[in-house]
Amino acid sequence: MAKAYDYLFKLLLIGDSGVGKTCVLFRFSDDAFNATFISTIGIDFKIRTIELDGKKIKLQIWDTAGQERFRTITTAYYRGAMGIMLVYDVTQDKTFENIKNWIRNIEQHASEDVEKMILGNKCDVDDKRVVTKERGEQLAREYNVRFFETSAKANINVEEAFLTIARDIKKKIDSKAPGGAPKAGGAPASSSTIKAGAGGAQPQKKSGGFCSIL
Amino acid sequence: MADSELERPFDVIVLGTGLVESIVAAAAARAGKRVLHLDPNNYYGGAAGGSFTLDELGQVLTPEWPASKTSSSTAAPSASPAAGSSTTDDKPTTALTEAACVQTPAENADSASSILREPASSQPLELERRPLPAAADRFYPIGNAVVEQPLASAADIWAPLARQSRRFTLDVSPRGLFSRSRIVELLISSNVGRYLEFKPVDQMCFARSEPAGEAPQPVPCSRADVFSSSAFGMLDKRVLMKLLSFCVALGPYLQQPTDASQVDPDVLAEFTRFKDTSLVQWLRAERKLSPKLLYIVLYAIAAVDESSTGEPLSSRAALTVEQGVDRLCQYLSSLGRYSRTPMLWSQYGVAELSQAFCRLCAVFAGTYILRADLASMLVSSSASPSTPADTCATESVSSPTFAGFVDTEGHHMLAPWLVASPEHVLPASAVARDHPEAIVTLRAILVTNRSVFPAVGLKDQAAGDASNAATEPGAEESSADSATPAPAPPVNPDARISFVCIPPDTYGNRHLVHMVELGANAGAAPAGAMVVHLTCQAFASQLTNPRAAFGGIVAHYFDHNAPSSVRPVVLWSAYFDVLTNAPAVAAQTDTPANVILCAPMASDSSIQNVAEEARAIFDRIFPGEPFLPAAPNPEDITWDAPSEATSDSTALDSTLDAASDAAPASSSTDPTAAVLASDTIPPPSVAFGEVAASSSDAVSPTSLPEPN
Repeated sequence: MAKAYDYLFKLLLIGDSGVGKTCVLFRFSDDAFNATFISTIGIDFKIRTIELDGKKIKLQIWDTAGQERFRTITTAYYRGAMGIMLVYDVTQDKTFENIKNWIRNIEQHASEDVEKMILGNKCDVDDKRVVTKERGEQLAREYNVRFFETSAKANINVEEAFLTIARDIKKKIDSKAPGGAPKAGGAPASSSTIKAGAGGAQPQKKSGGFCSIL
Repeated sequence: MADSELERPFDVIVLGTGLVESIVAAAAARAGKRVLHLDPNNYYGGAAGGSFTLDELGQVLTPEWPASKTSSSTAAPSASPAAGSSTTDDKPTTALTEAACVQTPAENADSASSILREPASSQPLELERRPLPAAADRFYPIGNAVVEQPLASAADIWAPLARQSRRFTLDVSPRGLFSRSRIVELLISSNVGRYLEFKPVDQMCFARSEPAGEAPQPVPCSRADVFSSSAFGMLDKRVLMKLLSFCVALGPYLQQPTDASQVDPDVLAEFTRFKDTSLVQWLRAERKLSPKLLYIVLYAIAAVDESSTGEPLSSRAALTVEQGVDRLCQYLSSLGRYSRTPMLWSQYGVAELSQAFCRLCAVFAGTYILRADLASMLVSSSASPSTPADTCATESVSSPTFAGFVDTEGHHMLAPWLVASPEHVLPASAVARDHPEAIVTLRAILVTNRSVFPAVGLKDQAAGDASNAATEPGAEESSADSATPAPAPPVNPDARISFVCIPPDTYGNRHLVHMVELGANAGAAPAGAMVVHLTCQAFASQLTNPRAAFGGIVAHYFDHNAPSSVRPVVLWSAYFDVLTNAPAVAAQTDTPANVILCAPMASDSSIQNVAEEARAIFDRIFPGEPFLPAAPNPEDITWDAPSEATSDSTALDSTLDAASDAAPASSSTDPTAAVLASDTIPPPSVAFGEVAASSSDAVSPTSLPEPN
């Protein structure tokens, strides 16, 4: 079976309620914007395949499913994540302040070498802005991560942010695998993975039967 | 926003995030019900079903109940739903202790009434507040815990490992899943399996006391294993194959006892005649198993906790032929589905299962609050609109009805049903730990420096596997061939996941002990360490010291000092017990009729039944609703905003992705309905193991395939 992609990256969106995580996600995945998303309902993750340096990269981007509201994100959410976008709302100071808490949360539960990025969303709403771009940049410098101001509504920098984090992850993986072979190590679209999928399906031939003995 | 959301009545409140509770919550949300899922703990899974880091485990085993509560509302803002953010969240060690704090009832009443507000809905207000028992007075399933630090000679090895606390995943109740069990079928059919990673158990073994010093022996798992095994003579092999054929022939009948037409009449006749008699007696007297064979079938495959002479070890009734054949069938049917062994191991611990169902619940709009700081239960003593429809009128007048909870900040959370873990609502006095029929699961968790399996023995075994496949190609033309990933590459024993069955009286153990050794494949410990779980069940009244119960086994396999020893060294250990079954739990409390208490769950076998238990609860609350139909594949849902300019005014349009064949585009004004509509799409073809692989180098996780 031919793979439609060379890499598969799992990305997460994290941040307080109402900062526009789902809008950012939909802007990137469907190039759509709708301000009436009630909260995050029924959205598990979205997929978009991009191309970088001639390689097809499938981005699987997970939403919090509203579990951030009372800070009850499951530790399982972080499993296997290769990139995390921390989102705050430039019109809500508290969401910016909480980025530090979310980073601590990530440090506890996510893998140590996960690629992080901070996004200041709703940057089109200039009249209500309370967090300056400089403060955002300063925070990102503190944690040594990249920073973008985005607007899902006005379609500013969303594409750039996702492409950048994908490029950084790819760089990290390629540097870990000598020769740049995407098969090795951390690249999930590796041969060992394909085998895992096939291996799971293979004994299905006799469903409900007693396979091994007779 | 958060407050108003809580004040709208829910369809069901689920208290506690154990596996059964989480499945019920997911099923209810999936059916479009409004679900509030609370847990007073700051972790998922409940104390008995949780998976913890090294540091966390110590606090779970011996929780510190503070004598008096110090200003909870300011010290732990996160504990209240009103505070959307907090700092305690980021320090699990302190948060865990804080989560354990609950105000005394008197304080609760004061603080609650001072902020008392009318609930948003028009609930009648003749609700009585029943204070919940304070944490220190509540039933807690874990007891008799002892944590032992390493001796000085091993301290050097231990110190660097102890610093990597979060790399440990320690299950209070470790459980393997049979590949073909109801819980696995549910994970597949509901698509919840996409959140999980499993590893096949690498080897199933059994221990015997003779010859002395022998490593655990592999259980013959396939026809090839049986025939190539040098442990049996020809007669034994024939007797075993006949027995296995008997079980296989009965398999479909056991699944559907109403249809006997597919079963050989002779087989059925024998089964009907003996099904209520003792399994041990039947195997010995009727099936003529030799002692050697009996040992393997009884303990390693059927996991029977009885002596092989048929003498009961306890006053528990002997396992019947019907129960025993059911266990054998479970084992046999699971072979070869994902690997050559019948078991799957949930990576990152068994609490991941709870979390996966909670995720599904949240995806379908379930509201989650951990660290829930509940003050009292609202109980209505008269018939009210919130009374469940199926409670008959006479009953609802006389018996109290659960109406909701009030938290320590005065928020009302209302629902006509409560599904709860006993540990969050029952006072300790309601659970009779010393009841003659109370069953405890005795546990030991050991961290060791290497495997009990010698490296050389494994290579021999791997070579044996390969040669079997080579010498018997004809015999394995069917699935047995594909089920054996041949030739097995030599595996570092320190990487393997091994299940070892230690029959009663092998190393001074009175009961059947399950030993699970988790190597690097399981991701349960940092490099250089292994985790060993010992589990057995006993009557609480007969055996209460876990340290003593496992003493002989630990002495046989491990050393406690001398890092140069030939045997693995125990670097750290914890002993405790978990109350598994206390018959009096429900009877001794005046639980309202619309409160459903889930059974405490700690036994190894019970995980196979959780799907059934959850389904029964769901059917009782929401009769006739579909139970966890397949969740739609996110890739098949696309949201079309009609136009960007008017996006704020129009309802969401949801269409099925055209790529997923010619399914008619359904549009709806209700996002939930749109999601549900996409059920018509065939199950997704994405193997979710793909996602998972990123977290684990060099080992391939087993992803659950879609049903055919």
